[in-house]
Amino acid sequence: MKRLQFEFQTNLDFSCGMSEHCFTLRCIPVSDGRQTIAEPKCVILPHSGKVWRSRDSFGNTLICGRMNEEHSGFLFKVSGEASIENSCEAPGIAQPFYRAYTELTAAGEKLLAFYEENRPAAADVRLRAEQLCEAVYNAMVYQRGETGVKTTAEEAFSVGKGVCQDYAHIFLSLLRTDGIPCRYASGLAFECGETHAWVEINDGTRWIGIDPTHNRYIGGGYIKLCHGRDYSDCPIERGIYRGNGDSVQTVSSKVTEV
Amino acid sequence: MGAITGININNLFWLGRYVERVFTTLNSFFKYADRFIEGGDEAYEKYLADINVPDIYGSADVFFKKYVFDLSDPNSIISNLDRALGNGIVLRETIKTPSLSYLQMAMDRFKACEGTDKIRFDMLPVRDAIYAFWGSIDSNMTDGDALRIIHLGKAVERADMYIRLGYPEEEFSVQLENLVKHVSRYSDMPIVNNDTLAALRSALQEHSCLGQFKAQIIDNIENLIEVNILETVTV
Amino acid sequence: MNTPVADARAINELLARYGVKFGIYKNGSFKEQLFPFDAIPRVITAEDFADMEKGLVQRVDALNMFLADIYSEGKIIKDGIIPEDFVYISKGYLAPCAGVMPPKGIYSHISGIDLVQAKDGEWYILEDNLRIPSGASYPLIARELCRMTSPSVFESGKIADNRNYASLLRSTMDNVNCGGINVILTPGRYNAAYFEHSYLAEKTGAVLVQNTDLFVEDNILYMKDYLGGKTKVGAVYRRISDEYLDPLTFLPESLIGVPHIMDAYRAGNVAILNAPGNGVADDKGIYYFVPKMIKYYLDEEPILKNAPTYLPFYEEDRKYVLDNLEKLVIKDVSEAGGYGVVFGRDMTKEQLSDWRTLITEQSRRFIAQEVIDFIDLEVMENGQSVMRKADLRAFVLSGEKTRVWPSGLTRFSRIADSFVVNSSQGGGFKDTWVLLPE
Repeated sequence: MKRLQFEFQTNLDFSCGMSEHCFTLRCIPVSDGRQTIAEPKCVILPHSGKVWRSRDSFGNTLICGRMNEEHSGFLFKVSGEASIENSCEAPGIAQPFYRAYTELTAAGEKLLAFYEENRPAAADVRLRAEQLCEAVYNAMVYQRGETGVKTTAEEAFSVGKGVCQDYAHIFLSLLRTDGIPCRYASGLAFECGETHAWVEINDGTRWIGIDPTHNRYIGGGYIKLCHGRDYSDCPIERGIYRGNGDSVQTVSSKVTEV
Repeated sequence: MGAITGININNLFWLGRYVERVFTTLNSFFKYADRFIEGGDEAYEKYLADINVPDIYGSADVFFKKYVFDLSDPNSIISNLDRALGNGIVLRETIKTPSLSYLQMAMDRFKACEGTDKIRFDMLPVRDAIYAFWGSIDSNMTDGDALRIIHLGKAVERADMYIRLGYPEEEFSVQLENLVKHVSRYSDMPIVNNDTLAALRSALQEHSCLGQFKAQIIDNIENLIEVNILETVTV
Repeated sequence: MNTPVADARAINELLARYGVKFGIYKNGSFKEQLFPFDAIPRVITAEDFADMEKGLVQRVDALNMFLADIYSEGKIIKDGIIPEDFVYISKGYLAPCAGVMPPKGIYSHISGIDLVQAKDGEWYILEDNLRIPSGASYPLIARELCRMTSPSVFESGKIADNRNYASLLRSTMDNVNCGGINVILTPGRYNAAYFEHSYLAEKTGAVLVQNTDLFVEDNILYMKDYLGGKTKVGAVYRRISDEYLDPLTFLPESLIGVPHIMDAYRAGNVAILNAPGNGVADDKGIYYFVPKMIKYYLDEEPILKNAPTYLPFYEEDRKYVLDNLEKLVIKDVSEAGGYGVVFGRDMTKEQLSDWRTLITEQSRRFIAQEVIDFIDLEVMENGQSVMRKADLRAFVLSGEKTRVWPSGLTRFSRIADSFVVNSSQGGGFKDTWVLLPE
């Protein structure tokens, strides 16, 4: 077991004043049998308007808010202590929609062909997933700037380059083609200074975390913030506001062993 | 019952204003139409000067057509009726269907008059429909606040138009007095600007010749009721 | 009994006067059109209506049970009645609604079921509309006007009064109201059905609102008023589609939605009529399975028939469709309003072959149906009686009980031999008389 101190902060700077800002944050990690979170704290600035909790149908805790007054900056900071089993598994069963393609994970011609080339021989779900994960890892080059948050699995695969989100979407697409229930996981990883994305597959009784960007099972260094069928189900921050300016987002996270 | 939303209050107020604008300009135009029977172009030039509208029409015939019937001319009477109808359409559930139908009827009858050589006669049903509209809102509307806001719009527009259309001082000062009395009754409504109300009240008391302060009085009337238009949301 | 009421011109003039319009977008600009009224009513006998009523109640109950099942356990899939492929990848299936039970378990409160009567007198279901079916206001106001212009026609007392629609709708809203006022949420003046939104608001006493009049705090939906106060909203009869409902859950670019309304809904603090996510059940692909649903959930034989339908998704059906394309009608499952409907008999050889390829490649996207030779109705055109294709949209309201409105919207094509009756495509409408039992 690992005990980790975590801190995660996102700043939004607006080029001009914004008002009637409504937001939903999925930044509160949930205890799930693999990770146990002690008293997560969430600070939101500015201190105006209303903030409350909600829950989505994927089981994520939501921080919702509404700030009417004009503000030109917005930040949220989550911190706490996590005890994490040195395991990639958490108990749970998958709802059937986790088997179905989504807009971001639907396999097109190229991914279908790729799946055929790499169709796993093993019968065991974990072994099949391992093989597909390795195929993704070998086919892709990690590179920033080639893709965006709306890039689909098929598009990212066609480019052959991408970031953790693209690795996860491509992996999800192959898993769904193979009939394995799986979901997108978003969170913090021990070594990296920002957020990270990986995949969880379900074997009927457990969710098993696999990180296609590093071609490995997740371990004690991963703190999950939220999950969904793909990225668009569970962005860590989503907001709408009145105003015409642009916004610049900066994200930082610190995970240290206690 | 009857919580009025922000968008609605704006529509209510402007509904009252536009219906009254159509009515007052029609009446003023009819006076001109009467003089025009013998007067021709002279009457037309004098009328434009009276109502302070630049002569973009060039001739009495064009003026006659465009100022009354041209929907593409934003100053035309029909354009104002169209705006009244537009505000009415989004208020159907508040003003009730019969009231809205009188505006629609006014518009249909108005359009049917285009090309007539006896406009004052043919337009009688338009005036009737407007009278019926005012009667209909008074007897059908169940939301008292909403009804009051329409009437505030009407009172503001009446005084405003009487000044702008060059009515003689004794006539417009009566309308202005009515307006001040009317608004004073609702001075606790948040949309009433009590500073300009006070300014108008003292103008009425202190000045024997209001005509000199025309611009300022118009300005005060325009700011007497404050309805904010909600901006559209941008992401 | 097919007595025309007064002359259609009088009614059409009155409809114009009462502002009965629908909007359409043509070449990028918004235009309002009158919806032409025909004076000869469609008459449905008491016996016919009694059967139809039973069949519609049965169908809508089964569809509501299907929705409750799909968004919870999904038993019908586990039991192999409907393949998973027709549910979870459907555009209408919304994962953000999974596990959310709407107030009183009702998903489709106002269902618009389209039927046609075949030449043998049998009624067939054409499609189910469980999202935001519109059209009830037109026969509602038309009846009001007909009774004004032609009172003698109604003297016999044999025609069911259809003017209870507003009170039916109101009790449907009240039934699921979670405490607070009822509102009708409209995208605004430039929506095709704006007349209907405002007319139903007037008739039900609900407040007509746009998104900017509403906000959510602590998972409670409020309406704001001009004094800066707020009033709790207990039920929203929304006339905007699911994907625009909440920019924080669905399309982020939606400018007509209410941020966090889904949080208030999930928390059980507000009823949304119809419930978000209903699109999964009125998908043209799911249509094929409705008779199976009725047997599965109610253990009853379906009373109303589906038009014979083929799913190219199944190999056997695909083969039939490819072999018989020239006599079938093909429908794109994701389109509505008469769009995405093509008839094999209108295709050239080349087009037929193109369609065969398309159907083979995208077998999940299309359904094929036998063309039902439905009866023509008499329509007056320039003073002459002509025969035109017509359908019937029946309105089924699910409140404490499921009830069928004793009327409906009869739409007819104004073009001879055309099967497309949609108002957006230039169709007209008739009053629908349901006769009372002797």
